[in-house]
Amino acid sequence: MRRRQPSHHPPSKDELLPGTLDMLVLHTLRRRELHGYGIAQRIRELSAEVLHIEEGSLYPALQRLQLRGWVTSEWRQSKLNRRARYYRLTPAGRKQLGLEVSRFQRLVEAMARVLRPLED
Amino acid sequence: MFTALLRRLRFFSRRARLERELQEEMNDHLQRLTDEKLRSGIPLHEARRRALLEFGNPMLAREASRRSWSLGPLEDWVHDLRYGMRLLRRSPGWSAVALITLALGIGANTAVFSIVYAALVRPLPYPESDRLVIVRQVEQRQPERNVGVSYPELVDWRQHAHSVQQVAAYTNWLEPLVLQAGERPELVRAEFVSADYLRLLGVSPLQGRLFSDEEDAQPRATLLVSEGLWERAFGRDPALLGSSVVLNSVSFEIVGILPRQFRGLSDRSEVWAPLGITGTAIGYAGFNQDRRARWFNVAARLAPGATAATAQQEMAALAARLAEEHPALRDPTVRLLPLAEYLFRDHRATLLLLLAATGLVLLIACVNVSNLLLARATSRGREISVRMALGAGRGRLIRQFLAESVLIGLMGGATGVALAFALAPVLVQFSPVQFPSFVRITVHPAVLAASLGVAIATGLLAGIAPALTASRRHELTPTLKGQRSSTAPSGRRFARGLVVAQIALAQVVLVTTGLAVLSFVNLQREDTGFRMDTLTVEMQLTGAGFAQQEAVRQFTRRALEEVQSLPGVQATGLVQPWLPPDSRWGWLRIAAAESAPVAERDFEQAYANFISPGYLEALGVPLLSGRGFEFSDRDEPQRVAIISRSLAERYWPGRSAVGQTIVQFRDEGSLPLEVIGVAPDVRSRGRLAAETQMSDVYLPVLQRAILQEPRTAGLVVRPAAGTSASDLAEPVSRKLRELSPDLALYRVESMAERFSPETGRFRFSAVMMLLFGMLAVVIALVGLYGVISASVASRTQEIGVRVAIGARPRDIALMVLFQGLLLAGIGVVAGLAVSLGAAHTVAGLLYGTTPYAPANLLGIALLLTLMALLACYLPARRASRLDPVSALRAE
Repeated sequence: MRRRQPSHHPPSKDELLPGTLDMLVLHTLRRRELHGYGIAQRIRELSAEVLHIEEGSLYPALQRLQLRGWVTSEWRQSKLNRRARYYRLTPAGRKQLGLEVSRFQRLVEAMARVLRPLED
Repeated sequence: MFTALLRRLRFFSRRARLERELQEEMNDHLQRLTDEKLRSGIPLHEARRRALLEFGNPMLAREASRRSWSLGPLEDWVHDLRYGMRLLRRSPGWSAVALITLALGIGANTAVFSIVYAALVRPLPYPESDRLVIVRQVEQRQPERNVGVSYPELVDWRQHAHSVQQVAAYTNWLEPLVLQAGERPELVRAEFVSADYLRLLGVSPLQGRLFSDEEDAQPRATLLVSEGLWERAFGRDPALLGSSVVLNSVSFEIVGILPRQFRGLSDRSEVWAPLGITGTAIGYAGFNQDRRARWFNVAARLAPGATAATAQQEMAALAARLAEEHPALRDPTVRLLPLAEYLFRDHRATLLLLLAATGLVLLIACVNVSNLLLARATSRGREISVRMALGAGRGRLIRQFLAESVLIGLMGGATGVALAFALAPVLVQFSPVQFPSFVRITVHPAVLAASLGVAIATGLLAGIAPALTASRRHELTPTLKGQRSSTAPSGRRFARGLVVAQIALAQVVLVTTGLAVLSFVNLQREDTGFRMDTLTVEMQLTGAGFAQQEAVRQFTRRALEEVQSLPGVQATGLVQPWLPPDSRWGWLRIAAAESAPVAERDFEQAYANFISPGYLEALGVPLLSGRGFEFSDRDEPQRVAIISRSLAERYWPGRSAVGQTIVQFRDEGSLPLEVIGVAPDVRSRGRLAAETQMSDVYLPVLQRAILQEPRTAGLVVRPAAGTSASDLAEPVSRKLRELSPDLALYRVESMAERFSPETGRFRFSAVMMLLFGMLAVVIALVGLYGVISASVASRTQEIGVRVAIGARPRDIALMVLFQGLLLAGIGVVAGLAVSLGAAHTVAGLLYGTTPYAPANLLGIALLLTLMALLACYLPARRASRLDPVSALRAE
């Protein structure tokens, strides 16, 4: 019998909708190159502290994105002379971002329509 | 798509480095988070803790990342296989037994596969060979006997048949002819063929040309020779084309050389002459108008759109229609066969039997390995429990067990395949049932693929039961403590069931072996009615010395007299044209004189044997009444004959046949023959004689039109008491050559050797089935031994208790023996049931025995039971010798 370890994170922070982490990461890398910590920070900033992802879960996502060829990375010296891995979007990744964003928006609109109070 | 795969592979190959880098990255990230917290004034260890909380579980992140670098389930399989290899290396004894068992089983299968493939599956080496058919003309009352086709009939068929094209003819007798080219005469086999025969079989000449259609009808003495003969007899003489040779006393011009692999449909031919010259070559020029000179076989190609069935119908109707216009045969019809079926008609059944037998043997081997795996799985109980406790799912465990068993299957299979390819050619070489020469056992991808499939399937089959049993829920604590896990009894039960299955299968295989051996022995012992220890010599009476009738007669008399006077010779005789068992080829039409019919086809057919005085004594066939031939029996005043008993009783029941008259049908008018003696019925055409036995008529050889073809003769020499046929071989041959230097002698052997090919098929089956039977028994008994031993080992404590409360060693031994006997008994009974149920499938392959022969069934059952007892002997003895004290202490 197998028992999965449920992930423990503070229930107060809002959890991400499944499948949207990849989209967020791609979006964050749209205009600049960032390292992993930087991506986490940026998402926190942009969402005004609402979205706190488990920062560790970024890394599997980044690996996935690299495997799909939407993101590449290279090691660089950051300021403060620290070695860090910087991630960047590929053209294919840019296209994928566009696709996912439009899909997500369609979904949100549809849900909003469903949940809108009926007008007389 | 492709790039994605490449990326995956790239990640996979770099995964060690990626892991390191990820670790570095995550550490760095954690550090930054910690620094962040530190900057807002939180103390170090609290900062660390909060950083870690925010980060999440690094180990999970690493695990999740790894999924992007792995090849998924493939990696798991590779890991399982490597683990399996380690396990195998750890217990070499166990591994060896399992591997050898599977190697034998898979090897046997592969060997038979490769033969079946080379013979039955691979297309024949002729273009579009699946459209080629053999067309045989037969009489409806004797559909096995090929009557042959004559030239006028061939012409009619070609004209009127629409469902077959390229109706080609080739001669259907196989006597070697004498080729005179240079110093030594060569004996060669020749086919006289129509032009489209060569086109039909798609052969191109190495040099020169093929025959043209005109040569079918006009007698042109042209010849094609095989490359092999060119080397052997002419030393690859570059000027051979256009030169002349003498074949059967007729001069031929060589016009082409054919490649060495081509041996004609008879598979033995080395020279080919056109159809038109057949008459000249064998001394009967009018053959192409004689509807009854049925010397040819017919091969053809199915017309586009026709099937064998429709062609058969059309040809049969055609034959019937022709028979109305030219009545000669009684109810002629046609049997049309695909060429492949015709060429392999003797082999097919035997090969399929072998395939079934090897399949059974493999099944037994599989069951054995399954048992071995089960035993090993039981001893790995602790490992399994720990794995399950750590989170391995049942599916994962089953996958691992299957990977291990497939590994054994593949390794055993590889060994087996190597063995098989070494062995298969030997089998074919020594197979008494001769395969056509184009059958070559090669390492063919199809066979390898089949064996690979079999190896994997065997591995899976052997492993599935142990995998399922062993992966059931284990209670962790008792297993870790080393106590017997609660799943053991069901595992043992399963193992016992497997052994019963093995014994049942062994029983079935052995019963079949018994039947095969019985068939062979029955055939061997069948009495032919005449002596088999005589010396026989086949001769050809061609050459200048035999051109005249009188010369041949002189030679015959002198030969008989001089050979008779050699020391060690009791009796001598001559027969024309053929010695047994080939005497099926000569026959004539007779009837009793007083009730002679008018139409030819109402005359009865009987075998014609032209014999000299002394022949029947030489064969050891005593006359039942009347007298034998003498040299004075000539054409006038009255022609004489000796008939066989069945004929005599049919024509003149209750009366003596001696002095009666029979008539022989001839075109020129029926010929009366006086019966001067009656001989017993003999099986001179062989013991099998699938064709209906016709009766025999013996005629004096000197009455035969000597220049009638074929000009062969056979000498039979009966050795005196104390001499053997082989002693006489040399003196007789020498004496014959003295008498006539250009006599062609061949096949000097004993009568028994002449008959050995007919038993070939049965001998082959018997030998093969013996091998497989032994294999099956050994594997099954080893399985039984294993199970009983394991049972004794697991009952050690129980035995200790029994001894402690008063059981004697003998009681313990009997208990173990009884357990083994019970298993064997159930297996034997199950096997008997299967044998009875499936017996009818082999009925057609037997001789002289029914598949339900009770002696065979019960005998094998008894034998197997006794051998089972033997297998249990050692464990029983071991059990009876157990020291009760240590037994009680054992777990």
